Amino acid sequence: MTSIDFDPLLAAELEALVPLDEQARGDWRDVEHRAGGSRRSPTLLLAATLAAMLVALLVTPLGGALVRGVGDLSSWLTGSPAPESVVSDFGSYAPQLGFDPEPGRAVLVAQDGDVILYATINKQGTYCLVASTPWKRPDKLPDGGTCISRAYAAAPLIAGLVGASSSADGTQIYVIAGRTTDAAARTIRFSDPTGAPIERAIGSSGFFVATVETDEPACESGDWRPAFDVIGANGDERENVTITLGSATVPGGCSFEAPHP
Amino acid sequence: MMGQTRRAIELLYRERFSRFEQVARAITGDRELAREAVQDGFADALRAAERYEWRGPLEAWVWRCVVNRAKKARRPRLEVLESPPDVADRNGAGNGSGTELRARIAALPERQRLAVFLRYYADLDYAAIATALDVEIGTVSATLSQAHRNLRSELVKEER
Repeated sequence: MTSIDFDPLLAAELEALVPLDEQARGDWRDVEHRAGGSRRSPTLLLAATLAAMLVALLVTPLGGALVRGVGDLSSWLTGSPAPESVVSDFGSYAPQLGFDPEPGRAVLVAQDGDVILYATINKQGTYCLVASTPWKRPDKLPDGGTCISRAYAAAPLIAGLVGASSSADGTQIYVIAGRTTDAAARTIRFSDPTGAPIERAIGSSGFFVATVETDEPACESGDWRPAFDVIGANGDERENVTITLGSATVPGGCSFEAPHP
Repeated sequence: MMGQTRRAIELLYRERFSRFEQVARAITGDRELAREAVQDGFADALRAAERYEWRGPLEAWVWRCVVNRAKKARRPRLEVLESPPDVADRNGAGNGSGTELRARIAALPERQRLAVFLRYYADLDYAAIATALDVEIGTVSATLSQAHRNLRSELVKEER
């Protein structure tokens, strides 16, 4: 440092003015509570955006058609009952975000190893998701889950990030979940950020979840925008949709979205 | 990356809490507001960590979260260090030098003031300050130089 960078006299005066409190101790659990108090994934901003889009859609003819197209979602949502921790997790969803999940209807809809996807209906006529992962179990770190707008719920296929972590060796772990409305779908195929193929079985009610492990960050080579192939029982391709999972729009990083078309 | 980032943020919190609290106290002029700013700033960082992968300096980014919270939490019309009860309690209210310095710092433009806090209290380098204040590195250099000119002239007068 040069004398221009640092002035010892000023430094001493500043330190005396606002002395460091060596005894100050934080409360990390309080930080975690604040971080998860509303909901973590997607963020309030994203949820607000989705809510705004929902309102906009509902007041248009297209919106009306979509609403009719979605129908009564509760009738098709099937699966084994979710554990109490998941029910409680859905119950912690902040209704200010535009949805009212019905925790008691939560069911297990898809699984990939030790990653489990749960879903429940909501009073808005769509559904909400909770992902249980080894690093974030609902009984330890509940976050309220992620709710899907009517517009998104009516799309033939949605997919997006519902969790992420990394292993000690630096391997990136992404949990991708979504749903197809095609009742005849049996398998979902897409590719990881490096282009390697991923294939998973469709679970209950058209839901799927896939744990994707890769050695490099998702947006290392630009957007992570794979083509999703919905495969039928006979191996026939029934749908092909390209969905952006990660956008390299954030300086120095990758921005992910919750399940969307 | 997300879990790794969360752990790094927690480690930063545990190791540097008192420094974050000090800077937030300098900005807000109030111990309770400062603590709230630190808690909310780290909570913001945790939430954002679930959306982004950060390749830049994590600490500088967390500083930005905390500084932003502290700026919002600042008491209305309480220009920084103008009348900080917590500080006065420790240093003696009415201390001539302290009062002068408070006034000089309070008179600085906000960016200069924040750059001074981050430079002297948080001991951040130019690149980290640039990230924390969301400005270019060159701007940090110019801002700190100007702040020093403004403060040093008064310091020199006092020394005489």
